[in-house]
Amino acid sequence: MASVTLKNLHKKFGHTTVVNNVNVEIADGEFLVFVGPSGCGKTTTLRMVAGLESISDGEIHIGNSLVNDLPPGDRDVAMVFQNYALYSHMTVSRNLGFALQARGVVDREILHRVQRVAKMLDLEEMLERKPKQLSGGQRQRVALGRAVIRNPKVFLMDEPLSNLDALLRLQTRKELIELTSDLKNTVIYVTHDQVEAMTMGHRLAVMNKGEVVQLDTPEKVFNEPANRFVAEFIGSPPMNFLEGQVSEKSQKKILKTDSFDLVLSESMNLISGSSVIMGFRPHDVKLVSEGSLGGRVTVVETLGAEKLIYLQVGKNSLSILVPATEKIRSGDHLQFEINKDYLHLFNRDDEKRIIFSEPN
Amino acid sequence: MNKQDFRSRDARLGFLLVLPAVILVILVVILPIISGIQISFTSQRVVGSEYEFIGPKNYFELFGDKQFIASLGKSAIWVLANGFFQTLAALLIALLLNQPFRGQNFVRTWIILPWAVPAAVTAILWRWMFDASAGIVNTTMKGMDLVQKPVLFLANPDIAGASLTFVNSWRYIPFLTIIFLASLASVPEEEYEAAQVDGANAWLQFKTITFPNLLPTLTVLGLVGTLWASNVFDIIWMMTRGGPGDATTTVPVLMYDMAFYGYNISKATAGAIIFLFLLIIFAFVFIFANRKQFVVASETFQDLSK
Repeated sequence: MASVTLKNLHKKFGHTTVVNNVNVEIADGEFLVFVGPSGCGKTTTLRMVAGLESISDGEIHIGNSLVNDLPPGDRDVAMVFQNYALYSHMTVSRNLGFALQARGVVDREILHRVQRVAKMLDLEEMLERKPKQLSGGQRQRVALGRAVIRNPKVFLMDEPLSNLDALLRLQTRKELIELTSDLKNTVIYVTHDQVEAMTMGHRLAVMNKGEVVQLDTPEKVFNEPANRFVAEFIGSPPMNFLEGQVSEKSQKKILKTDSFDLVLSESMNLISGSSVIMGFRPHDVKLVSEGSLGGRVTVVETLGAEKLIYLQVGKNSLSILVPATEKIRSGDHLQFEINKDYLHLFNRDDEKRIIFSEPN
Repeated sequence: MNKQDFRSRDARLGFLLVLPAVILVILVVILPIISGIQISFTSQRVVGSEYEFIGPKNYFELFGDKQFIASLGKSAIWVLANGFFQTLAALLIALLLNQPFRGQNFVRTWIILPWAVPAAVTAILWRWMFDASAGIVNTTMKGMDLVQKPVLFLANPDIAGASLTFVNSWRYIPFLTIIFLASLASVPEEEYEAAQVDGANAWLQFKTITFPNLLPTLTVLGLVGTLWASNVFDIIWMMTRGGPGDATTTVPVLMYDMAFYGYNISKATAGAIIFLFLLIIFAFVFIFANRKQFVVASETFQDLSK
């Protein structure tokens, strides 16, 4: 068990920079999730920690040692690959014991530990089978067992759930949370699935275009996204965005968008004339019988307990979440109100979050 | 139209499609073998001459013929030496070429060149290079003071077989290398990465990942290579004519010599038939003993063709 420190980490393939100045300190026993769209550099970062990818610039420390030039086998990390990468010519039992075999552990000890891990992961019945004869979920458990058996300093997981079907993914997610919190090893987890990231991570490192754009707890990332990208990427259904200009009218700040005007709360002390992007989540909207905001329903999606309504408001299409009990059909005209406590504002030029100091 | 009709129509189409191949095999393989068996039971000396039926006399004579028995032994050594040397060298080269390096694709393509050189050209080329007085091998070795007297690569009975094995391997290694490279390409890269993270060294990776993946290919090559090597005639004939003495007289060389220089075509044919049956028995035993690998190999080839 150990902490992991990524310092000014860079990775270049030719002239393309795929990981750009990543700085993350991962505490001993922490579950850190790198999350971002495909091609954002999260897997490359993980592979650099594993030692499977060379480092163009920067430092990686595991525990107290600099591991930049250590081969993967000497870093005491275990990796779970997206497609499991089981040794196809070995039985489950030999797959599980391979890392121990490679380290010269005596056969009796290997057997003992294989049996213990097999019991833990419910693999006892299939120890003599080859990977080909296993289902996707079973293969996933073997891949996990192969990592667990070594009790390494750090677990590296590269989208380990993405090849499972929806129901199994949910179940395995829960098992993985239980397993890692029991074992208390440091975990670095890579996923493009924001729900997975939110539910599993102690902290998230949201990546975009090779950079970590926000490093924080799931709650903070959700409630106070650092920029428009994070706001859009985290949260489902995604946030609504409207561009607007701040103006002042009878000592009140007003945000003028091309669909409607919104009176801002007093704490939002913006300079008149500044261009901003306003964002609000679909569930931070309330239907009202009479209000200043309104639009025509274009699509109604029933999600179960809730309905996702697409509204045409002026030139913009906005989505709002309402209880499923609301009887709404497309073509209806709705009046709504935005909860201003959960309004997110971003600068139009750099798309960064505008932070207001708390009113005294 | 019901399902049955479709199936029988499919079967008929399939039959029509393989028919030309079947006819060709019958004409150029089955008929010559039958005609060969027929000739081997006669006293025919040269093609077109008068002959009579003499029963299995040729076969009895051959089993008492020391030269024939010796040629069987030489063929066995030839096959084993070629098989071992070629497989090992091709495997090493393939593993080397499988490592990323600059110009990899160029080398991978052009390594096939010796395979494309006609056997006659190969024979002349190497006879010239092995020449005692003017050959580049001897002049180089002498220039480097490695030898005092020129090495008689093809005239010394102790090393003529080794020299021929080398030349024949020079021809076949590129082909085997390409086959091995294709087989190596099908090994999933992630397995090596997982093994690296698991701390396996290069040897353990080879033993547990590369080798099991190559095994089906090695098995198929074991069969095909044995049959190919057994039937090598051109290189040996053009370089040593089976000599010096009988040093490099394998079965095909002896049969050719017996048929067209010893004017005993029926006896030579009998020898060839014996050799053919030995190879057929070998093939059956080999396939049976390695049936598991052949199944895997056929699956692999099916996967590759997808």
